[in-house]
Amino acid sequence: MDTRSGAAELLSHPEGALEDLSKASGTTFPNLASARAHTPERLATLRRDIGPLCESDRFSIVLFGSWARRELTPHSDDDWAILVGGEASVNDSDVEAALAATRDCLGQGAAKPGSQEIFGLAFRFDDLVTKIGLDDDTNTNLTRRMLLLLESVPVSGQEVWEACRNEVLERYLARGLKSHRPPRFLLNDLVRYWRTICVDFEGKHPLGGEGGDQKWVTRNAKLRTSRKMLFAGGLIPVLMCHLREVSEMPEFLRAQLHAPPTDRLAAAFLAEGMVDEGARTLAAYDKWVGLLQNELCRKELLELTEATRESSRLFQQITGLGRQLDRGLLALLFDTQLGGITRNFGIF
Amino acid sequence: MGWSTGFLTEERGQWRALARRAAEHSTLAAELSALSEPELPGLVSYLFSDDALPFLFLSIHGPSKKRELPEAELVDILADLQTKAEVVVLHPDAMHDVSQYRRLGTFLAIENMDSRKGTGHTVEQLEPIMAALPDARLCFDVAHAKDIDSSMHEGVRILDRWGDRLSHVHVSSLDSSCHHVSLTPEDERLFAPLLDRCRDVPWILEAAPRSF
Repeated sequence: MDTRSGAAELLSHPEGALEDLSKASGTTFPNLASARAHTPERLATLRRDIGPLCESDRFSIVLFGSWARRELTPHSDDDWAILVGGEASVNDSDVEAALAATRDCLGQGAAKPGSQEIFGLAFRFDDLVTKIGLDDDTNTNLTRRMLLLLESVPVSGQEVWEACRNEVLERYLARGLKSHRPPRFLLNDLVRYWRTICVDFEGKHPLGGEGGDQKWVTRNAKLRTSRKMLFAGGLIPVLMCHLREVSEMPEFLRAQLHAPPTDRLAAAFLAEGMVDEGARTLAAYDKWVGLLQNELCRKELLELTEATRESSRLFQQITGLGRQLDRGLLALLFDTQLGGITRNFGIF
Repeated sequence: MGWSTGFLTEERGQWRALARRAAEHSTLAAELSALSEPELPGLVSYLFSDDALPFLFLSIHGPSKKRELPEAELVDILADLQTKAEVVVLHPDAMHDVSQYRRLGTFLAIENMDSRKGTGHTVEQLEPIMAALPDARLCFDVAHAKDIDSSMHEGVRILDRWGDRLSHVHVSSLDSSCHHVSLTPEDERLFAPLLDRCRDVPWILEAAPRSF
């Protein structure tokens, strides 16, 4: 993308930018492509199966993570929750019925959602907006809010999901905005979320190394790849707000966050004229998605421990992919027009 | 950006000292170069010693001179280094039974060659080996590319063809005997458009910088 207007158009409508990057570079992203084909099919099936039972203007059944990134593999977790809006309560009979119906369809066996009471239940939407920062903004609340913004897709109740998402975004953009500056409130919370993920990763690891955490190496691998993509997929659009007037920022961010993170990053690489770097970065991520699609790789990761991971070629391959991802993202953040913005807003 | 130990000739074979010299200039990247096969056992011992290397990116340059080991044995040795480095660079003209190298996967990077070598100069010459090793990556030597085509068109073609598999770049100029020398101001200007396409990968200097 070599013209200013072309770049602006791409950033305003990033949906499909991964394909544009593929065309511009001649690089294919086969694993992402197959996941992107697979995810909407599974989502459509789910909408057909539980959507009609659970359609409501009071709540929304929402999927997070790989479902929203369009990176679903046959082994992905079903991280879902029911987002309850308006005057409804999590104890209302229709919400409870929706919970039961969703539990029958999602999170079976190995796809069981995480065990931290973030997913697999219903929660009121208000806390996401009224409790930002300070003691009441628990890790759970922060995680739900960020995932709703960065990585969520509705199974039912599209309007409720859309309204809640907009309200969260509006809360972040309600004051203190300046044209051609990233929205600091959102930026700070986003950075806080990423650092919280990293700190909590250590917090979950029992002192003394070997503990009962069978997923520690898998979690570490995801931190280097998928979680980084989650953060970068939010950070880049927020920094890109430096190209916008205050009045344009809400719509710009809405369009960005509507596209999967790989499209957001592909659009940014293209807009900055970094076709080669973008292709390499997304190709590294594509390889990671390929490893996740491979049952043997997932099994090996689960069998590794902190002590054995260093001698694992699979783990070394994943750390290499993580470094390629780092280098590509750092080049985008620091070696382009974004460099000055990253330097001035990314640290302090 | 980091240093190759290949040009630190005074300390050749003293891996601890070589790594320390490279780290004095950058801990972001380095290439430990065992271009001659007799250097390899010492490098392997060093990599499996208790020394913790500080480099964010570490490349190993595998042997292309004084080769005696059967290729299968060489590949066994290199495969064991996957837990110690991010990539191993090999010269295509020193590889004969290419299928042996397949198991190195993404750990292997093939370097484009200068005119002294019999092959590996152009897209057409590199194509069979890159096709036979679909996971292998490219180590792009920008000075070699100029030696083959001073217009840099062949370098552009190589990046166009395998830029998505690029692991890192070798940066230097060449003297009239194709030995790596400090990057000249003329080459710096000439190489800029190509290096501009490689902003995300490590740049390994194959000769001391001019100001050094």
